Amino acid sequence: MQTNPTSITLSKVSYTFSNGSKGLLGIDFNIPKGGFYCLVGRSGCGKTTCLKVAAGLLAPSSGSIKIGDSPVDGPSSDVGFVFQTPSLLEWLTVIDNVLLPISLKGSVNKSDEKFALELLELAGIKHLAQRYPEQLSGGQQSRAALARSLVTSPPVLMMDEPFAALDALTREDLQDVLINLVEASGTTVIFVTHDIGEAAYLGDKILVMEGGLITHEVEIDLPRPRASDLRYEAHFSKLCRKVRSAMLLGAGQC
Amino acid sequence: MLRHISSSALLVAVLIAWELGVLLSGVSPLVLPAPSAVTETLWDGLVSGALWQHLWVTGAETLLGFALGCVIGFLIGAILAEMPRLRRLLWPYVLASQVVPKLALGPIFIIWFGFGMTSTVIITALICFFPLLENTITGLSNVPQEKRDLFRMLGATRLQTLLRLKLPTSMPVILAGIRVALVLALVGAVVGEFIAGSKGLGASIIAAQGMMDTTLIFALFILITLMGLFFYQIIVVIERRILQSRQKGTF
Repeated sequence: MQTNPTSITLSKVSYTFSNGSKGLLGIDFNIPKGGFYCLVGRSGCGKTTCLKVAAGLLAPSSGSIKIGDSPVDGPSSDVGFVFQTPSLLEWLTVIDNVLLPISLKGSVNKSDEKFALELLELAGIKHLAQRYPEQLSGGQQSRAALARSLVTSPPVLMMDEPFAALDALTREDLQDVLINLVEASGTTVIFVTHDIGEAAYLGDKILVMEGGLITHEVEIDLPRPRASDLRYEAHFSKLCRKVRSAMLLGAGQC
Repeated sequence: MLRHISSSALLVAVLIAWELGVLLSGVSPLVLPAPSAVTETLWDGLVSGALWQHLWVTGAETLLGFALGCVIGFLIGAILAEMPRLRRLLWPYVLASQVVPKLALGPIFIIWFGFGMTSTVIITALICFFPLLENTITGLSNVPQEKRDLFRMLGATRLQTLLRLKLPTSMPVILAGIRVALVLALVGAVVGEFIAGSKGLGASIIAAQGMMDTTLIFALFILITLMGLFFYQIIVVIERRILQSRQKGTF
């Protein structure tokens, strides 16, 4: 399931809400091909706005966004997006939900179905393919949403606190599922979260946001592939403390 | 089961009290007929066939007006939900058209369409139009933002978003509007016949009133109530089927 990974570049991106309040105040970052960057920060710091602008769901007030060499001027099929809620369609089975991005573009063929089932297997819910969303737990729905976002093998995946509503153990399971899926595909990822441990476990780099700005960047020099035991190592704790300090400093600056 | 038995027992108790009340008080049948007399009149009317043609006319007017009102209400509702600017432009007029008592338009419809079924069907359709319009707009406009963003991210066209997201999501709200419209349709048809009908259960009530035949008026009330309950049950069954097939993905 190898994709064709690409870079993401935001240059001096600002965003002003319709009520005049500032959402983003000149965001600059570049995620290299296959990079996994996490955006962290307190509620209301602009993480989700930044992600939506990067995805083309919101038009920036100024600045530019590029995916690879192509400027972003609206939602693009190069981007898979996972929302805060799984947003599955209740009247479709899990497999039909996963195949939704393909069925909106045309007819679904056997190889699409096979690939969707492979993704569900990697997500650990192949046996639930014919169930309806209301028959699944929250964690299972999140797995289905993750599989749906990858079914078109997008070069870029953007995720907006997708595991925030789940219990700690399910969240850890899903973090491992995500790592497996993304490492298998080589997809470039922006992952928004307010959980420092989650960001440190998943990311190559953490961008700390506060008041619509990126105030700090923290390099995560943990080896890959990553496994659950990593969370209990001293270096992991040190990185988490570093991110936490950066968040506190960021809050102090704004 | 116990609930049904209790309801039936209550009805029987009321009927017995009513019958005894009429018998013991000696009140004139012109004011309040006994249930036994009403049942006899109803039975005679059904056996002789006198009531069937009126039942048929009112049933046809109800269903035609209901269908017309629902189709137009749904289509205009869908257009206004998809075009917010047009909705802002037209909404005051749509609202004004609904504030006007529909029955007050009866004389105009009689002048335009004549005395009879057409005028009653149009009055009924006007009454059914608004619940469908309102519920369609509400349903289509209240699809969660994340799901709309999902369809945007997936590059869905407006038509795909309408047919594959908004309509299935808003189906329970639209079906609730259909249920309300059906109840109003029967009221519209019967009251429409008061003004513009020469046949039908409403027209029969007016004729019975002219003859001071209170017993027949009560018999007609019962017939209208039974017809309303019958239509309502049919709509509930259809609604359940649609929601089940939506759940199974065959919608």
